[in-house]
Amino acid sequence: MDTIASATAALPTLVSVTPLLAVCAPLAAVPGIVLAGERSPNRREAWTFLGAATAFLLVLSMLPAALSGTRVEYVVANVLPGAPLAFSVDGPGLLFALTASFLWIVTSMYSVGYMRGLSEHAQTRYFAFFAVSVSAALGVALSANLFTLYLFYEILSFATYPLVAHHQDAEAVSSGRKYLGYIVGGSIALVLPAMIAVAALSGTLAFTPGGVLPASVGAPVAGLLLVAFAFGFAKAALMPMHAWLPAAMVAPTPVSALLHAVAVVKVGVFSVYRVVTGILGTNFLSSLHLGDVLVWAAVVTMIAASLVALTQDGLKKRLAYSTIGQLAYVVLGAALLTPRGELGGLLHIAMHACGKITLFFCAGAIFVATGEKYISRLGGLGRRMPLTFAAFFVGAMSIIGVPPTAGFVSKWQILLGAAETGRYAVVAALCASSLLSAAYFLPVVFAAFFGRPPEDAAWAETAKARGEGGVGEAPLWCVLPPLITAACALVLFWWPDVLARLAGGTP
Amino acid sequence: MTAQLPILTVAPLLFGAFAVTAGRFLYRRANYAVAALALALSFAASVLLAVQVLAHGTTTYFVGGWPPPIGISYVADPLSALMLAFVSGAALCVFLASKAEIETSYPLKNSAFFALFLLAAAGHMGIVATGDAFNLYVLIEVAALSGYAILAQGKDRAMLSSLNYLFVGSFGASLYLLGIGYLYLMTGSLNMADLSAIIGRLGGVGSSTALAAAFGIILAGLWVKMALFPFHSWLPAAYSFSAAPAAALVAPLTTKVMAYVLVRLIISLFTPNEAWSVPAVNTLAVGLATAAILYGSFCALGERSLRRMLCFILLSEVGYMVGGAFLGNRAGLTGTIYHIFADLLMTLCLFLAASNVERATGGRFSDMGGLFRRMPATSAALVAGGLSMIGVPPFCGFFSKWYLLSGAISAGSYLFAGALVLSSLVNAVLFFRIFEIGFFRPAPGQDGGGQAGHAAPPPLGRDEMPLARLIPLGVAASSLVAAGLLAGEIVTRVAGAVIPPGLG
Repeated sequence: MDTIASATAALPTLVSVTPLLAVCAPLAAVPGIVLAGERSPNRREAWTFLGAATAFLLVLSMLPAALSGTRVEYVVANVLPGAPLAFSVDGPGLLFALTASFLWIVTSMYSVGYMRGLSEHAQTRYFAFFAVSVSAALGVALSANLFTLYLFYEILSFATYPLVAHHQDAEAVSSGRKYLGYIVGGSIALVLPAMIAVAALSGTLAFTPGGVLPASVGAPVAGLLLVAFAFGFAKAALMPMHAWLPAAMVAPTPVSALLHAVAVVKVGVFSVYRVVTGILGTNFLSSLHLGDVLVWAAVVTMIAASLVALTQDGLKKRLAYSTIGQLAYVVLGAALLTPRGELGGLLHIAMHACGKITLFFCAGAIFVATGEKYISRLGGLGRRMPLTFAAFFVGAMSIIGVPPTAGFVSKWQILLGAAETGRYAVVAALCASSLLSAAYFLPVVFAAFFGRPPEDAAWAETAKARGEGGVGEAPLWCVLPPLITAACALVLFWWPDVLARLAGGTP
Repeated sequence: MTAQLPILTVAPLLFGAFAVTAGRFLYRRANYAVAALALALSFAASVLLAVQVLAHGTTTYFVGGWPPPIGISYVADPLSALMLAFVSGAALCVFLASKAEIETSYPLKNSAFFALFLLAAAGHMGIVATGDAFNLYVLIEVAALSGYAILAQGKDRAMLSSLNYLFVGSFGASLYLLGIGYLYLMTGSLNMADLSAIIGRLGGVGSSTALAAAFGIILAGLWVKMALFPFHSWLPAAYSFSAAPAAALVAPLTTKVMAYVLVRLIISLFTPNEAWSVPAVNTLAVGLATAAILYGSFCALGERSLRRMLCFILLSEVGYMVGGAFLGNRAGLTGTIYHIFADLLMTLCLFLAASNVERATGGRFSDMGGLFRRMPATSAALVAGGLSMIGVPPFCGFFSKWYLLSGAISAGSYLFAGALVLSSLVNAVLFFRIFEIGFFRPAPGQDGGGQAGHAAPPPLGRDEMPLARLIPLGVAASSLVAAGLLAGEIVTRVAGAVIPPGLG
């Protein structure tokens, strides 16, 4: 049944240092960022853009190889038997790397507008750790084996801590604790022993189509490993390992946008995908009927997170719960153990990224322009910030999965995948989840365009006093990025071909 | 010249100690330079030796030209050669970093301190290099006696705790000597290679009660010397009340060199299969190791000053090494050997960082607010050491955990594996507690700025240490990553070379 797996098994390989360079490019910008410092912010941001552009171009340069079915490989060091520090770039990895590195450029623009708009402190530290985080995310995307993936996963955990705790106040302390508690606790207590068990059982950790476990491993052990990986990779935010994500929303909005909607959380689900397809093996899992465990964990997370999202008044909190629900789609796609499920899940990494980052950008733009954080206070704001809310509307449609937005493409594939395996309850759950996301996003848009401003809203007062009643957007650098990503969400509906080919399908 | 390299690793230190003692009366001002030169020469010889041994194989030097079993031989195989390089490098690092600290901590006694420092280093180097079981005892005492002397000079109860260490340490060394006596009784030899051959001919540990007793007594002696739970009580006090340079020298070296002797006992004096032939000993060792890990971790949670916390972490690291050595498989022993190197570097880095932090803040957690802003370079090294202790790749701490855990899982010692994982998690709590204080809390005497979230904390002057202290610290910190990336090399070319083939 695994036509994709058998196709990738015979992939010709190409030894090239490009993946290493792509991972190092953001790191190389860090000294420049630190040396430029607070004294010359423009030079500092130039380093960020230089690193971002270089990383993106390096990733992009591997696209022809990946599309032609060639695997780009590079071994850095033989550190552990059966698990060198090595990169191997295939379609899914490149799909994720492209998404992360492209959105980093956009987010960097947004960071400049947001951080300067709010005169945040410690911007040098912020940009430096941002670069390290992106480097780690690219490392996860391009890694050749579970050890390399774990290495970058852990670097990402620690590199994002100063970003989450950026404000250095009491709330940041407790959120930082929660963040590390879940993520590092999961990776050390669950993933590390599971990884060592896999290495002991099979002697290798390389991502191999069809998995690496010997056939003698029984369902109990394989099931235990699956559970340890799925919940241990807490960045995937499968319930009950999700509580760190809403807490991490204390971070500045660009961090929430790129890291907690794209890089960090997608690293989590991508890790689960890699383990399911490359370590445990889809055939192996389906022969033991273990896919169901993950399917139901994903479905429960999807529905429960959407229900909680309905109750959230904080805009970023609502977005966070929505992210938890949407991440479950990717896990679900992998858990279906069919090529179509995988295709849908992988596409959802990119499609959801475009939609959700747009929404976060908009949330941040609203905060910069008006200082508002709560949904109940957004009434009438759409008339004042039409561009922002137009982008918000497109992003919301994409998350709900309405054509012609990108979210539809991936959700459709996951839906078909679920139907193909005869899991009609899952199909119903997917539909219900889409309806729920409509229920928690559309009222926001409706109120913004047709509602009344709150009585005490400062922005409404000043607008009235000046007699404008007209447009009052956030700074250009805060408005342009959501428009770009919203445009992506529209474009990807019509031209998803390249991404779909990377994800292994021919739609 | 290359044939003499094994002795040249130790000789400069010994002669340096004499020279410094004599220099007291001749030209006191040159003493620091002389001591540093001795350490540098020793380090250079060790590095040359390591390169030579890794390229061409084991080198043996007969002291005074007397061949064994009569004479003393110095043996440099891949394990001891690399260990010599690490030990001398660590001693040099500490010495270079501590110049100012030594001058203030030991006023008027600089020369005495230099001499004792060199003697302690010479003792530890000799223990690693010697191929003679009795000479090893002598060198243990050389290392220990000079160690007691430098640890005794400190604040509060330093003298009392060093005295306590002297009692316990002498007891441990005596046990070792007693065990060697038993061995001599049975074999008539003191040379390790010779001993090993004769023990093999006699039929191994199980063949006679005397050999079994010798093994057990030596083991007990080593456990006391390396502060394995429940023989640990001397360590935290002795290392935490002393002046910083003494602790920074002794803490990375003593427990690791004793663990090295333990490994030698298992692979060179006996064979692994013989050493692991008594299940009760293995169970006891792994059990004590598990207890040591848990005890060290939980005691560390209760500490409120940096150096004392590190001392208790050191206790659990001892558990790592002892446990791995008695899991009864190749992965476990590999883990122990790699962890000897890794833990030496981690302890070095953390104690040097702690010494800087103590200098600036006193080292109590409550005074460490604003540390990241005040001392960014020291804090970075502290973070590197902490992440390595937690076991984050690519820092070296991850790789020892990897081997120890895979050894534990394949041996079925799930309690030990659980303790390892738990200690990683506790280390995460321990270090992030410090990072939180350093990152979030305002420095003492500063109002809490930035409570509103966006107001910048008030600018605070840098309080960083001079470069002379930061460069050795930086070397130690970056060696954590280097040792991690070279883990494959160390494991195959060092551990793989000395562990006999055919072990499961």
